[in-house]
Amino acid sequence: MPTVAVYYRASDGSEPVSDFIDALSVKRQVAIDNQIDRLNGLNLNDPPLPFPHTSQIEGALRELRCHFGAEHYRVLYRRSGGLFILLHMFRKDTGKVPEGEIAIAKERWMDFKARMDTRRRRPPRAAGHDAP
Amino acid sequence: MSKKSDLPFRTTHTGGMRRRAARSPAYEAERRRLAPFERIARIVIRRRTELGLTQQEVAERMGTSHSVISRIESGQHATTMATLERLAEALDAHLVVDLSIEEPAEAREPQEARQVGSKAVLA
Repeated sequence: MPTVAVYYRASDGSEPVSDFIDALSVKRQVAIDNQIDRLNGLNLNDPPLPFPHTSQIEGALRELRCHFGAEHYRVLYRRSGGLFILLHMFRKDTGKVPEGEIAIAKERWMDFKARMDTRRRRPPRAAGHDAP
Repeated sequence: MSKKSDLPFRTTHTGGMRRRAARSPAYEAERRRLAPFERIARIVIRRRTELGLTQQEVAERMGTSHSVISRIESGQHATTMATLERLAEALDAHLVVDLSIEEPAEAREPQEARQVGSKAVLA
């Protein structure tokens, strides 16, 4: 099954990566949306998109290295099965990805996992409830 | 209690793109403008990945600078046919240019969106 990029969604319903893109000018939105869209439709056994388009940050946390002209943007993401979870996005002005930005992505990933696990632990519905 | 609203993801990036396109005709116009460059960028990235080459190595094979490859792979800039021919050679491939009377799937959009898009381009 091909991969699908999805936005991490906070408990309050906000989607920080989508909200970040929405706040950009239309030209920036399109250029960056196209670059993120390259994560869609890959096969599960495909290698990650090559450098300089993506690179490893730490463990399974990776960065999508987007740009619009000379402006650099980063999307930090992780893979969960066939999904790419887009955790955090920011404009990068310094040489290295700041620790604070990595910490935000890690925190969101922990939250993502915890909420997915809660859903998995939910007991099944009563047998026959939805039976045709 | 777990409800659908608790899901830590709901919108796909494709859905986000659709939402932005619906909000602004200029978005659709810009997407159409970049579409051919983006298509070429993806073809080049895929082939470069298959060969396990860096952008620098492809540039060296072409006898050009790294920034030429970087610009093509950005999907934001036009490229000449002559450059594409040299690039195909550097990627151990052949450049194929064709005319088709069938519309490619990615170009098919609702008529309304197309009209709005072309108006925005002409404006």
